[in-house]
Amino acid sequence: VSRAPAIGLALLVAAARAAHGVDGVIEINQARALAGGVSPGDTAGFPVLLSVPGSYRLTGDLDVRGETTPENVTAIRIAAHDVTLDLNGFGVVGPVVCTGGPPPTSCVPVGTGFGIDGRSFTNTRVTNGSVRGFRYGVWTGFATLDRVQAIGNQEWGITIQGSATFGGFPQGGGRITDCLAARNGGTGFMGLTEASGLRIESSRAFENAGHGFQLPIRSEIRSSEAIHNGGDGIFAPSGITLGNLSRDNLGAQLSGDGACGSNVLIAATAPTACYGQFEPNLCNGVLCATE
Amino acid sequence: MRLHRIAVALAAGILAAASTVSAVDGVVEINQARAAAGGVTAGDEEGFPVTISVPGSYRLTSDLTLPLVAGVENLTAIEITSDFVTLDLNGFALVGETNCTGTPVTSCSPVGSGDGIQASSRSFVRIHNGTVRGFGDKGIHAGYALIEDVRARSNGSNGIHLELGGRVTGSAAIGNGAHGFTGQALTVERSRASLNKGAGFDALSGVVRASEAFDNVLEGIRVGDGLAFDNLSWNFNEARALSLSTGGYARNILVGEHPPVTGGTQIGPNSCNGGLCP
Repeated sequence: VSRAPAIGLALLVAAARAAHGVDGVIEINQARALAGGVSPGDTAGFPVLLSVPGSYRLTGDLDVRGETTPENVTAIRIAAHDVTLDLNGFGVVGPVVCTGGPPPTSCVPVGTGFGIDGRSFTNTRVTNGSVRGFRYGVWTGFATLDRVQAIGNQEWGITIQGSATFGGFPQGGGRITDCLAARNGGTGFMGLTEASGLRIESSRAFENAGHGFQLPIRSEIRSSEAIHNGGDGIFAPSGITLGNLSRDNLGAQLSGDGACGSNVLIAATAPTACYGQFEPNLCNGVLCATE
Repeated sequence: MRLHRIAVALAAGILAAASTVSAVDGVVEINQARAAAGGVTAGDEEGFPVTISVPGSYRLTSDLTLPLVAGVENLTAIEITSDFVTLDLNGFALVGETNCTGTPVTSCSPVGSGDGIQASSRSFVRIHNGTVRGFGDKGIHAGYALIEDVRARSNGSNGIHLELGGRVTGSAAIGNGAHGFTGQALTVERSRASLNKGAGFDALSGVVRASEAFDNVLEGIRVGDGLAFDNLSWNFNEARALSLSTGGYARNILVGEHPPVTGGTQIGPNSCNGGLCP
């Protein structure tokens, strides 16, 4: 019994220091978000600031809905290059709810919050979880995203801003694989100008109010699906569009001036393929006309 | 003395927290003992099914085996009643008592209403890394879901059935009593379906890519108006290796006693029984 105070204090200290998992990854959950100190400069509450390169992992959902004006709250702000963030199957949750449609016709409350904001930094990796209910779901610089689901955000689900240069070299947009953007109030996957060279693979955009996929120039999308989005299914101003399914989108199924092949395009209004068919494409069950 | 009491209370509290069902990384753990005890999430009663009623991340830490009782074919192992659930089978298996026999399958017994994982009214569910075998009805029955690295075997009906579509990657459906994989607007990649009593891949309006179908009773691959791409389908039964309505296909290797493809349009070359498909 006489050792109980020491044991208790030791456990308390251990619990307080437990921002690092047993494997050295920095762990983030709701309590630690509210307490602050996840990385240098991280103050109590949201956003959780990731200011140091390294590996971070959620150990619970992060939910900003309890904040004052939660629609203006960003959940995680990445403020360093070379950050890996494992959502560990959990969700980053905001207050926005999209209704109507599908695709949705309203997403409220309108605000300014991001689920994950890493716009100004490069070589980010985000994996394995969902981001839902923010103004923007995930917005990164040059990044690798895999198995991320962006659902029901007011505007864009997943946005890659790219990095024009880093260390003097063009970085482009990075890579998205096995991701989903659904029922967002804007475009599902958005690649901004500096994200040229972005590659999207094995991903799906469905029932977003804007385009399914909007790619920057010199980018590639393959083995993906755009289904019942409010804008174009795939908007690819240049680059390659290969082996995708685009159907029942309210705009064009495939638009832009890039090269395309082996895509299947289906719509009530006869779809057309790209100008540069390097392989045949199928438009409503017949080979698409060549331009 | 006061410090002593506070410290003891802290120790007790922290130890109590450590004994909850959450692992050190916050993921809620599920195993046979916890299934029996209940309380995995709110509303989860003792025994099967384990009910997951709260969004979040869950992980098996053992196989979950149904008890050998009368009506076991009507028991479901895990019922998901919330959207936004991630379930890591962690290499373990959900195990029922149904056995399918025949090569390919000709019958399964006992059949009933139990699924390995029942989430048919839920969306944005993700299930990965494990096996679901021997259930009276479907192996996995979900609304909109993402399935990765799952093996569904010897279930009384479909192996993996996604009512509202979704994506399946790196998975296998072997020797089930109906289709291997089925769903509307379903995409299946890098997966295998063999010896099922129905079609291997039944992905109407969807996509089957970089996958293999071997000796299923019905068609190896059915995609309706969708896309079949880079697959190998081998079917020596009455049904075709590949069946489409108005969909497209390219770079598939198709083998069978009958013309191995019906319907659809070639949007790239395909191989039929060793030659280019006509």
